[in-house]
Amino acid sequence: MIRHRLLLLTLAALVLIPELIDWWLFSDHHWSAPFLVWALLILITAAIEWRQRHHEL
Amino acid sequence: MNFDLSTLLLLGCGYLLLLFGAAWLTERKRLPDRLIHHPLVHVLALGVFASAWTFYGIFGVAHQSGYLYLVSYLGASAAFLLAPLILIPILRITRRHQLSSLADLFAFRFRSGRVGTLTTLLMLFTSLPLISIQIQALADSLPMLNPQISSNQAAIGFCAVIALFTILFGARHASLRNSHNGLIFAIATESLVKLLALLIIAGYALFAVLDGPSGLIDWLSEHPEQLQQLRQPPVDHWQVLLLAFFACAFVMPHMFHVAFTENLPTESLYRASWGLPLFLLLLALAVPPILWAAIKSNAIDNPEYLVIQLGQTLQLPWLSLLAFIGGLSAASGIIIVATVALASMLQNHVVLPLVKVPDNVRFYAWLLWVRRLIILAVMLGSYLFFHFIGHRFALNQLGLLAFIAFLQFLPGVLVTLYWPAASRNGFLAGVGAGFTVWALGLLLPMMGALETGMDPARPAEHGYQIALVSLLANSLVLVTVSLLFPGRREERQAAEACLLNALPRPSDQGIQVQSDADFVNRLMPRLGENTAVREVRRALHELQLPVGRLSPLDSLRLRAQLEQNLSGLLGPVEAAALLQPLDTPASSGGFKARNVHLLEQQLEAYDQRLSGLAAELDQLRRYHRATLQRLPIGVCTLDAEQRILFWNAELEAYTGLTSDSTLGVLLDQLPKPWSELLERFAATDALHQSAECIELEGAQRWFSLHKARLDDTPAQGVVLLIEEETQHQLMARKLAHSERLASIGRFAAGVAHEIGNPVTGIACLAQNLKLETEQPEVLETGDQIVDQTRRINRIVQSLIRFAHTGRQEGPGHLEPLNLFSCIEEAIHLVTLDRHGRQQHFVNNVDQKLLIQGDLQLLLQVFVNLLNNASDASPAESDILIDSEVNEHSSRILITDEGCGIPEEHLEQLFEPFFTTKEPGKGTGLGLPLVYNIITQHYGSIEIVSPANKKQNKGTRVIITLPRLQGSASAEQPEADGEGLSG
Repeated sequence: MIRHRLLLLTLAALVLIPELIDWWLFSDHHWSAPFLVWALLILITAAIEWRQRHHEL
Repeated sequence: MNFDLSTLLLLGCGYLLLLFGAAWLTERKRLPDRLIHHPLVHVLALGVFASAWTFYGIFGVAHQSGYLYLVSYLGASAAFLLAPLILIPILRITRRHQLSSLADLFAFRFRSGRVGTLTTLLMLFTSLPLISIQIQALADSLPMLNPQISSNQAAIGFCAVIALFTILFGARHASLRNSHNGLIFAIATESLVKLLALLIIAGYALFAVLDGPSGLIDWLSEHPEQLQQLRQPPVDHWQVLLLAFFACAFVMPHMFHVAFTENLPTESLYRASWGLPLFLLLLALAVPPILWAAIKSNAIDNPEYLVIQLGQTLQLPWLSLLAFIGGLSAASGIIIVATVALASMLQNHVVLPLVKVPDNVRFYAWLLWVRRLIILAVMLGSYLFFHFIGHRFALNQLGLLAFIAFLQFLPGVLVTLYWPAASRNGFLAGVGAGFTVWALGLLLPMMGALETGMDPARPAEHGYQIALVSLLANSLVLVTVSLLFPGRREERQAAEACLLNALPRPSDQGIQVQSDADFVNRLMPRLGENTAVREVRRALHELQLPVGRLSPLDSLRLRAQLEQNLSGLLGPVEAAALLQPLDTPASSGGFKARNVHLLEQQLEAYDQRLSGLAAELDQLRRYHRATLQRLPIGVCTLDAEQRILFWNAELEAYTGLTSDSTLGVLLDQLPKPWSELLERFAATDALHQSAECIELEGAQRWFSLHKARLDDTPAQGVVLLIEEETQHQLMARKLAHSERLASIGRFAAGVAHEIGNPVTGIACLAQNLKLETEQPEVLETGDQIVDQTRRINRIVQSLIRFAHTGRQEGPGHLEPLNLFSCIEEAIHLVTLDRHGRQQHFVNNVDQKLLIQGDLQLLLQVFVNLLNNASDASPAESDILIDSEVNEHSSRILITDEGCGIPEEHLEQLFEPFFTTKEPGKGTGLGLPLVYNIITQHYGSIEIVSPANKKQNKGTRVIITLPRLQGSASAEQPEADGEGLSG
């Protein structure tokens, strides 16, 4: 149920809050800012995956 | 700057040969397994997402729309970052039900061949532009390096080589679910090559063309319009493109194939949840430096191919060739995998439903050749699309067309995972609506068949709106039609099987098969005899079931396994249709025996995925189940039809019937005598039945039965408790026997007492004869009569003494007694046995040895032990009674030459009722009494067998008793003339 809601929230964020992505990609940040945010998301996912794998082991 | 044709051919063919070599070495297992199955290889194989569009066309998007180019990478990254929500559930469904494509998934979910066929045709129609882009990328890039090469020639040559590779390494197994390790390794190599190529070019652009990071900062400060262009506000509704790439990450046939069909481990998909986004981030990061370097170098004539043009402009042949190889990698990878995936979909959903397998062909080989022909047809179709249509459009135009079309499958995937109420009609109507909007709004205007005012050169602005409208139309129609026309029963069952964290409910269908031969007969007309036998044997082996007759439950399990396996071979619709005639209609009873068992099996396999309350309930279920399973009493539950639902471990031990062989079986189908015993009891109204005797393996066993009705449960059955009473019954019988013996003993003592008086009278009369006659013969006769009456008297006295033994209150009066005399008396009693003892009893006990004890009890001890020794000894053998004395104790050793006592019996000798004698000859109470009496005398008893270890025979009983202190002063007790002391 939690995953279900998370998915719906994510999709809603993608579709219904386009300003969020507009702000992320097209605001007047440093040109590398979108890449840094993206890298941060990857880092968080990798940390979650690593923790889950070691927790399961 | 032009390149020789030979150089280009050498390079292109050399690279493709490298791929062939990598795939060949992998298939031949020449590469280490650790490398082939490394998660990094799997992650790189998923990098097939980065096609020629991502390698070449993306620069056109970046130049034209700035950061909008990131959308393709971000959409796919989002899908993988959220892998546990969509990718992992799809992987589990496809693996559990052996589904090999998106068409299989939809056909399984909506239980419809039409859904599978429609999905396949739409997927083919949508993939042609995508494959065409790849062909076009190569056909356009080669003439840039050598103008003498025509686009058409390059396209034909490229298609031919790729088709050969695909047939060789993409169609190696008849089953679609088998892994193509060679193919996956080659695709991973390609992904690595294109990543390295782009990073090297980006590195050169940054450090050589833009003079490093500081030079880039200076250049950007001098050209602020470049940054401004990068951040230019996009047109409205561009976000829907993000959703399109999100969907493409798992909907596109090549992505679905690599992620779900190639049997990658789940662990690899979890690693890919961050590995692929990282791969895409590196690719995306390379774009701005290359773009700016091209702008600075004025190599921007054709932005889509600026990565090649940069090398040409800078007069750097290696840079151009590197870009060419990178593009070749990106283009070839996607064509190969997409073709394999489309071929499997077309085989399952278009060819097999239409074509009957010819007789007298090897089915697996026939299937492989069909797939190879489909691969060739798809390649030909892609080339024709490129030749007649594709080359008229830019890469990003065709890309946009294809990606928005793939978006139409997203609602179907989401409802498959999250909305069980979605119906087949809803899906068909939704997809129909979405594709209609797409075709009318985007496809036909692009082809010039419909005038909508769209600028064909700039389709994006219009495309985003069409994408949004088509997606909304698709979703709304799907939901509305599903609510208006709900799905059938089997559709709902399949929906539940696809739901996240949901268990498929066992089917209420029955099955009309008796043995595996019935399955073979069913499959034979479609698959041929050999293939049918092979598939059935394979399924039996996977379930570890024996060949031959099957229980109802095993038949259902075999049917489910066969359907899964055939689904990997023929697709889910064909597999289900093939086995459906074996099913019998569902009966009215809702809750079935097999349901319980199948549900249990599924829960066993599913437990690690349960969480929260479901996990706790499962723990509770396991606890109750373990309690019932391990009860030291047989438990069996029956449903209303008297089918067995539960059969616990104790009952397995009683009956020798395993739980697997009994579950789902009717009570009267159990082997005798269990069927009679349980069925008779289940049919009566009595709730208890004590000590029913049945004969098992020649021995009588007693069972008490109890039952309780389960009227308030879904099963509406009964629970039977079966308790073994055999030990109690045997003990009760032995006690009764002992009681009888005791009665006889008391009776004998009474008789002996009564005999004493007439014998005394006879003795008196005989003695009177001496006074009445002097005839020597009469006197001698009188003496003999007196002797015989004394003998009778001695026997009677011995009997009376022996009858007085067995007092349970312990030795009442301990007195000094001569052990030698006691044993003599015991020997005398033993020899009175009416059977006659033929052994020689040798009393070697020290004649002066005194102990403190109760004569009657010790007599009973020695009589018992000597009787046992005599029973075990051959005739004419010696039974020795010896003694050993030390300061504080005396040891009496009784040694025979008998057969000895088996080692496994030694520990049980002193247990009541344990006997090795024939029934009726031993009560099993002798040695326990001996043990009790000896312990009451503060002594101990030990039995050693074999006594003679060399000859491995004989038994020695060693009794240790406290020695009478100061026995030297003890006087010899007065004898009664018959050698008895005490």
